[in-house]
Order: sequence, then structure tokens, then C-alpha cells
Amino acid sequence: MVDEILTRTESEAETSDNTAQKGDRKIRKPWTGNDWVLVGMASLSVIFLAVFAYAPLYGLILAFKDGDGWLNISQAISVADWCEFDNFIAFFEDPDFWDIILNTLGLNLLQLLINFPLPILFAVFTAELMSDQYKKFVQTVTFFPHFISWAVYGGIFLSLFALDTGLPALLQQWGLTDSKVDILGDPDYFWWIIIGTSLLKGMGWGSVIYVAAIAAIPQELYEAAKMDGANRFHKIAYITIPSIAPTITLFFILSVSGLLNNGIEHLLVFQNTSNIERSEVLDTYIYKYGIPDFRYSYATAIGLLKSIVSLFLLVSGNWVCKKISGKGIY
Amino acid sequence: MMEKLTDLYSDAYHRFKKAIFLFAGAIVLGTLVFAYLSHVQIDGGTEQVYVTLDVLFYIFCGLLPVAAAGVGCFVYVYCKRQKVWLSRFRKSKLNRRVGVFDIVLAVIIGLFCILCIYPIVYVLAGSFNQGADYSIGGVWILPRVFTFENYAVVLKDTDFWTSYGVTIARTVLGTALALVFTAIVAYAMSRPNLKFKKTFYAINLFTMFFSGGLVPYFLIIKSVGLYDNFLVYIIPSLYSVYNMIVLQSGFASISSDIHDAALIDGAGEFRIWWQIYMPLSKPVLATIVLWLAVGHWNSYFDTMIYTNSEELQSLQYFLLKAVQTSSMTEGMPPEMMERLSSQTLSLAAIILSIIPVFCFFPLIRKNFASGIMVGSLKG
Repeated sequence: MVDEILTRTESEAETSDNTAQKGDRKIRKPWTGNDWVLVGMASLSVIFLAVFAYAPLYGLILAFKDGDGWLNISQAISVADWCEFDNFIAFFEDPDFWDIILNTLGLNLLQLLINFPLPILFAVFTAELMSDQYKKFVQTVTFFPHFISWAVYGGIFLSLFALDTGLPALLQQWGLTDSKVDILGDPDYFWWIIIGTSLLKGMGWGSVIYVAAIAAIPQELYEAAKMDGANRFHKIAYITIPSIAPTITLFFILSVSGLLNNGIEHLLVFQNTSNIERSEVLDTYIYKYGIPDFRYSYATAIGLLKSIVSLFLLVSGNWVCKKISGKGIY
Repeated sequence: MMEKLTDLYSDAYHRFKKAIFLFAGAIVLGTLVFAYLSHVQIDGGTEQVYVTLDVLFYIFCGLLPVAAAGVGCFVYVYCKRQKVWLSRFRKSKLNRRVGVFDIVLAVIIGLFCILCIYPIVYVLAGSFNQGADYSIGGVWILPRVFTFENYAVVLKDTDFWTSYGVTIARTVLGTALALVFTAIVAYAMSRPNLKFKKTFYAINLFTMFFSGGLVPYFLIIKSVGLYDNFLVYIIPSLYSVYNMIVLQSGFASISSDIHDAALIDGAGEFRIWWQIYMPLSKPVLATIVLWLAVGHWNSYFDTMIYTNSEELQSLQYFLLKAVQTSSMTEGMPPEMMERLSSQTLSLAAIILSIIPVFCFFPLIRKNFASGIMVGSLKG
């Protein structure tokens, strides 16, 4: 998508360059009032981004300073002592370091393995449903959780999995388990809670984009395939999937670049002290040390590390995709 | 007589269908009432409910034979008119027989739908259950001891209403302002005659790929003076590059001739944007409004980081706190604590917070189809 826009702006820029070269190479056209208006409108974004996207980049020097525990942080940026890479080293030497990396990557890879393909399958198979009314019903029902926040949806599961009042007690009452299973407190279950809840909440909405892509496939292809004797599975394998492949690629690259990002609003709901060894990921770690604990420099350093690796993942993911399918996102 | 009925009904078929659905709803309601009366105790605190349910039950019983006769009549007529009644269900529009695979698929997807809905059913059941009884455990689909007390208590909670107000205010204000701001930029970015277009794009796109991270952002919020300020909900979310790109692709799809014609008529760029481009790209705008509004309504992390005072907490944060730390029963008199539990109270609060989403959902649902395609992700 970004690719498309860039090529379009390039082609537009070229055409305007060409016209400029023909006539007025020497005489520059003076800016009209409308040019000023347009540039003014576009500069609004520059002003906004300067404050909320570029100014924070200046704050990154905190990563190389000893600014932990300062109350006035803006002062810490300029006054605190340089400490070079101490913050990074402290992170690598943290006893939790490998746990955090394992959790971050493990959770994300699991999500990539389960939560990435399932919406695609869901879209493909809902398109196969016979009744249109049923299709609409399914879409409505599965979309609904997307519009509820994680605080609420996660909160619902918190009370659903509560040890004494929710499912664990119920399962014991029904004799399905011998003792109450502590779903929320047991670190072993944490990843599966996250996978499961994000499937329930996100599968319908995640499939939207693929549903749209499938709807855009010309019906003649299916009719032609039918004439050639293709059955339903042939049609799915040789028409539907290849047609939505570009969309899949795009979202795959985006998910790969997000390998270090976990939905923090999602995780914080389910995180508690007893499952912390499996629930602590980079995002929650940065938040915990950065905001409530005032270890600004330390958290900034980890954040910087994360940003760099994410950028690297995006670029390399895009490169691999370009090599394989000849098309990336930029 | 039957033929007369047939004529009558064939014209009013759709109206009748609606009536049937209404009646089905009434039956469900009646069954629930019946369920309460036979298995469910009613909490002593709400005697009135018992009386109401009692009356409802008798009305339901009285109506039952009448309605059953009506339904029977209708079904008979309907079957007669459409002699191949069953074929509606057995054949699709492609004239294909229903196979085993179709049934399996429908059942699996149906099961998934049930899984999606079940948590909400559970919350409903819990929120109507008496607190002390809920704490014993075992409530899973219908309330055991029915009461409205949870809702009564939550509705009197001032913190709940403050946070509700904050969330509504930030959703309405934030969405409107962000839409206008993003649309202004997107319009300029969509014009081919914008000077320095490449530079503007470079500045914008860079921020999508690299960001400073949480702490430096927090520092900026603090040094700009937004910390613990209502505006922190609105100003930082005024603009997002992704929304701008989606909007500008919508604007770019509008024919440039309209723009030129308006220019010749003497309209300035700003006026063209506001009076021509904005009204012409309503579907895209609707999508962006949806994204923005859902984002505003649902976010709680910003409350957690950027605010400190109680009056500024958003609804979602309030709910999360209620669920996680049982903050809703704090400072309650002990005689109330005997019957109430913080869990059922927070469940009632959750239901109350979902209601607006539920009301807007049919509206949102209509916009899906048009909204999805605007991201220029057409596969």
C-alpha cells in the first residue's frame, strides 16, 4: 500500500517535472495563494509529528545517560552524566533477560503460527457457507468482540476464569477435573489464554480484509473452474488462496515486523504476580520500569533496542518477501 | 377461508415475518420468566421484581394458546403456498445440493460463534445474580438468585458516571477533531500540485517505521504540559499517519476535474476541501470515524500512564480496576457487603459499558462493506 502511494507520488512528481522542463526552467512560477494554503495544510502534519514523533527521538539520548530515578526528567536529559552503554549492559545482565526474550518471541511466534492463518481460513470458509443470512449472522457475531475493549473483554475472562466463582469451580462441580485448575495463576496457561482470547476477539475482524479480497475475485474464474471439473477444494486451493496471496504477504510482513510488539493492553489485563515468569514481555517490562519505577534511562535503552530490531525485522522481512514473491510493501 | 387467508398473507408476508420474529422473542422471554419462577429464587431485596415477573408469567400463559394458533395458521398457509418449502433450506442459489461438508462447516462455525457470545452471556447471568450467592460459584448461564441490586448500586456510583462522562467526552471530541485534522492533511497530501510533496511524505512515513518508544514519548507528554490533563486524550491522537494515508487515497480517487472546475469558479483550496471533497468521500470518512471512535472508547493504557487524578480516569480503566482489585465495594456499609460482592458489581458495570457499543453496532455493521475497501487493499 505504501508502495502504491510512493510510486504514485513519484509518477506525479515526474510529470510535473517534465512540464516544468519544457517551458519554465528558468522562470520559476511564483507560488500562488493556493500553493501556500496547500503547503500550510500539509505542514500541520509536520508540526504535529515534530512534537509527538520527532521530539521523542531527542529523548533517546537518555538511553546513554544515567537518568534513572530523576524526578524532573527534562532536566535529566541535559544534566545527567553520560554512562555510555551501561543501560544496555544492565539489561543483558538482568537475570530475567532470557525469560523476557523467550516470552516475547514465543508468544509472537505462536500468534504468527495460530492467529495469523486462522482468520484467513475463517474468511475462506465463511465464504463457502451456503446461506447468506447465516453468513451475515456469523459475521455480526464474530465482529462484535472487536468493538469491546481489552479491559472489558479481558475483565470478562478474568471473572470467567476466577478460581472460586468461575469455570474452574464449575468444572470441579461437574466432576471434569479433580481439583480447581488455577487458569489465571498458572504460568503454563498464560500463553494459551492470550492466544485463545485474541482469537475469540480478533478472528472475525481479522478476517474482514480477506473477506473483502475474496469478494473482489471475479466469479467467472470459479465458473470456468467448474466447467473444467474442479471441486470445491480445488477452487479454494487454485483460485481463492492465490488471489488473496498479495494481501496475505502484506499482512505477513507487517506481523513479522511486529515480532517484538505484544498488545500491551491485552497482556496487562491478564498479567499478575503469579504468572509473571511467562507473562513478562518487552513491552510490559519497559512500561513497568519506565513509568511506575522511574528508571527512565533503563527503559529508554530497552525501547531503543526494540525499535532498532523491529526496523531491522521489517526491512529484512520485506527483502525476503521481495525475493520470494517479487513484491514487498515498499 | 384458507384461500382468503392466503391472499391476505401473501401481500403482508414481510410484515408477518417480522411479527413471527417478535413472537419468537416473546417466547424466549417467557421461557426465561418461567425458568426464573421454577428454578430461580428471587433475591429478598427486590420483592417488586418478583411481582412483575409473576404478572408477566400470567400474561404469557394467557397469550400462549392464542399465539400458538396464529403461528400454526401461518405455518400451514406458508407451507401450502410454497410447496417446496424445504427446498429453500436444501438448495443454495448455486443450485447445489447440501453436502456433508456444508453441514460440518456450518456446525463448526456455529460453535465458534457460540464461543464468541458465551462470555457475554456469562456476564449477563453474573450481573443479575445476587453477590453472596455468586461467590459460592457455579453460576454459568442463568442467574441462580435473581436481583437488580447490582445495577442499582452501580448506577448510584459517582465514580462510574464520572468515568463514563470522560470516555464519552473524549470519544466525541477526540473523534471529531482528529477527523478534521487528519482530513485537512490528507487533502493536501492527495493533491498532485502540492509543493515539496516528497518531503512531506518522507517526514510522515519515517514515523511509521521508527519511533522513540514509550519513555521518550512520555517525557514529551509531560514537558508539553499534557500530563494529568484532559487534553492528553485528545491532542496526541489528533493525527495518525496510517489514517492519513487511507483518507488521502480516498480523496485521490475523486476526479480532478471537479477540483479544477471549482478552482475556476473561484473557490480556494480550503473551501474545495470542506465543501466538495469532504461531502464526496463520506464512506471513507465513516470508516475513519469508526476506527477513531472505537480506539477512543476502548483505550485504557493512556489513562494508566498519562493521568493521575481520579476525575480523569476513563471508563475502561475504571472497569479494569473494578475487576482486578474489587474497588467497587470499598467504603460500603457492612450490611450491604453481606449480600453484594465486588465481582457481580463489576459485571453489572461491564454490561452497562457495553450498551452504547451494542446500540451503535447495527450502524457500524452497515459500514463494514464500504469501509473495508477504502484502504486500497483490494488484494
